[in-house]
Amino acid sequence: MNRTFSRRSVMLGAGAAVSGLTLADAAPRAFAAAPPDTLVIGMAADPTGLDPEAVLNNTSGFIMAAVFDSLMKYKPGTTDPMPGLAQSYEVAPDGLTYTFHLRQNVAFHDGTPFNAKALLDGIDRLLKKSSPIYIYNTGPVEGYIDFTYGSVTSYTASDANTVVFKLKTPNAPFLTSLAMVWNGVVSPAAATKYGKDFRQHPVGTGPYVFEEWRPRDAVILKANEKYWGGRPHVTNLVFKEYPDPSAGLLALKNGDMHIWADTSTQLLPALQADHQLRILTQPGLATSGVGMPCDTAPFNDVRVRQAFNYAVDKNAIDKALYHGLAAMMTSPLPGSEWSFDPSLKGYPYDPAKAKALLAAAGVKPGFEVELLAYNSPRGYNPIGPDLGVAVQGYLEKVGVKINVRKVEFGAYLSTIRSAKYKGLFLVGWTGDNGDPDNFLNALYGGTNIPVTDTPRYKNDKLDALFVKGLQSTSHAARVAIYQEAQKIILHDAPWIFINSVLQVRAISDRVKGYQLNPTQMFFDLEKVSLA
Amino acid sequence: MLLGVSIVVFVAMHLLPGDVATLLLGDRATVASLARLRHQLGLDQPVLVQYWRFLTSALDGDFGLSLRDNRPALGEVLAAFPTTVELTVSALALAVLVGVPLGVFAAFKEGSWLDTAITTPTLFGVSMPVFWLGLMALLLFSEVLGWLPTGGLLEVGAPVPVRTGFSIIDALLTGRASLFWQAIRHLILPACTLATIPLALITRITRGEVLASMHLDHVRTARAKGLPEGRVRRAHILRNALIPIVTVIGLQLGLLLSGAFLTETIFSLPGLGRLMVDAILARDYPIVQTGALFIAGLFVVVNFGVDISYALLDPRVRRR
Repeated sequence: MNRTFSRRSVMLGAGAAVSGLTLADAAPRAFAAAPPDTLVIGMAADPTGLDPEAVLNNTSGFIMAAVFDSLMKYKPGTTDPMPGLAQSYEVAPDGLTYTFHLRQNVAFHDGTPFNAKALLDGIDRLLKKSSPIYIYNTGPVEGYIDFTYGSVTSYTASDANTVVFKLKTPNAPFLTSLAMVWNGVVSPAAATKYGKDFRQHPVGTGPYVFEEWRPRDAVILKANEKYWGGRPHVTNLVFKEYPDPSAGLLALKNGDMHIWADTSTQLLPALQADHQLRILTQPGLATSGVGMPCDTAPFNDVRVRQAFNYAVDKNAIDKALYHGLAAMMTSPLPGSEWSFDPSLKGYPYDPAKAKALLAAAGVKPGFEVELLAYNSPRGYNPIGPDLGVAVQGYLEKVGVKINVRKVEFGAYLSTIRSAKYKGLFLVGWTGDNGDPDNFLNALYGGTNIPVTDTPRYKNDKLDALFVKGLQSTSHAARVAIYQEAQKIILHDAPWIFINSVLQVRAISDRVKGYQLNPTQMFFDLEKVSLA
Repeated sequence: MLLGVSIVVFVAMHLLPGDVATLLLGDRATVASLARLRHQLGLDQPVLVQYWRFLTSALDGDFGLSLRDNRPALGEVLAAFPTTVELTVSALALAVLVGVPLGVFAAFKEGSWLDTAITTPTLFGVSMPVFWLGLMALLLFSEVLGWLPTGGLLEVGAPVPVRTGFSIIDALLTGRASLFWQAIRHLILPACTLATIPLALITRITRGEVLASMHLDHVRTARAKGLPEGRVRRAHILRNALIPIVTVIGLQLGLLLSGAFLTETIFSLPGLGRLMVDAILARDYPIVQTGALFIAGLFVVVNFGVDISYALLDPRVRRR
């Protein structure tokens, strides 16, 4: 029986393939481009879920930014917060009370009205075990719940459209955190209706309404006709997966894809050669370098860490390996951050000085150490392990022998976070909410050893500054605090500070009104149109 | 056998360094969030307990939820399977329908320039890197000539209400000829790419086997009896050569059904190969285990089919 079936299907398949070929001759380019009024955004991977508080990966975020709105949003093209689903807000002088006045006449895609009750039900979903839609009962949760609401002691509605949050300690980044895509406001009615399956059936208030998700293929969305920010210009929005970069390039050139979310910078020369494509760039919210184990000899000597910084020519690496799409780190913060100190100059390339510092610290020529590299490109380092190889070459010139070991990302993370690893390692970070605390404290704060402070670097004066920075409500005071922190970290050099990659996206010249955001998310898609 | 497969896969997956919680939370994880997620995923249990849980629920037909996206693992595997079947069947059909006649023809023309013209390209065929060939085919037929689409199963946003997972059947069910052609056109490049290696292999094996049978004693006897040459070739040479050919086809079928990762990646097809490789990289144990069991089961079925076909082809096997 089995045999008859397969023989028949075999015949059918082959016959079909042959007739398809002749038809193809007759109708060139009949299927070459995406249908009209459909914006196709290409991505490299499949989303893992579409519940903003439950999943963390960028691919899911790309889609959720179109489906959900947050209480706050980012000013287009920046990480400065501005009112989103909240029409306006007030912060009390002591920094402990935040009052949000909600936008009225807004509804979720399922028709549920958005108001203080809906918002509070949504926050109960995250924080209250007794909530019937408690998120931890729906499956694993990766999200930013503690990160955002860790300092919140109460949240209440003072009227139908006003919500008040009380904090136990001032948490300056609270507003920026609320703007993240990961704090998108979900329809409590839909969360109740779908339960565990909500992450496959997202319902928000955003410019696009979720229609269908075909795993490892595409996510299909339709314009939200009643969007409070105005009806989207394009009716259909499709996030389509192109796992192979070369195939992605062809799709973009052919008009099958319009915006390439995960543009491969390796293919940049080919992209630049096509005049129907545009390359958008923006300073990225990312840093990348090489971590040094600060509790292990000889790296417990600051002179050795500084020497390693002087030994590497970052500008040459940026030019040769990153096609010029990265900027040398002159400070531990990326240039896109608002408290970035432009007066700092980083570590210029100076191999003579590096050799002198190494000699002074007693490191003999021929010193040998391992460098652990992840084996695939990362958002903050599109060339992946090649960075390790470049650093190896420069350090060899000052008499240090580096053995680069490439491992798969999961293995890499467990090793560098084991608190026992004694070698050098590639390290990098992409900002979450655009606040300087999210770079400096996360990567160099003693309380984050060994999970995100992987070099196990600790400086008590710095840790005290981070506490002050979180509590201060004055913008100017925070800038001063983080600028002082940058000086300390730069001097102590727990990383070889390499570079900040630019965000790069290739788009078709048919796309109008699209703007990059440092967080890489697709905000304000309602303003995008196809010529 | 399936138990053995499940043990090997389980042990292998757990020997790999790095776990799914670390991968999911990425650079942003904290000690507390890692611990909580591991607990939610059941990864804080001893490995033996995890295996026992998987085994006992699998026997009840519950293969668990994907650690990555929280969907039923069996459902994900079954959803990816139709694409793989479609791809495999069309590629193998192409390979068999072209490869067997070519091989037979080459054998009967042994030593002639026609034989060389067929066997030389097959040498390249068996050693051709699929990803290179696929990309070149995309470049030529999609980018330069613009005849065929760049990837996927159907055009983006095609109106297909019923989803069996088989794009051709889905398109047929809509009753629209244009959609049907669309589905076929999307399949041409990946099927041809995937067919190269089996095609070359089947051609070479067929040629070799036919050549070997041509010189057997019974063939000489048949000719001596005065049987017409056509009948000698069909009944005495070809039929005798078929058993090894069917074996190779069966092996290829099993291999292709377990997923063609490279072809699926280049042509953006949501098949079993990509599901499995993604799951291995993400340490998504339930998917890997379910997928491996499923593939092992498929091999059993395919081999059984091949064994039955022996009986149909060879009366001696039937008698046993």
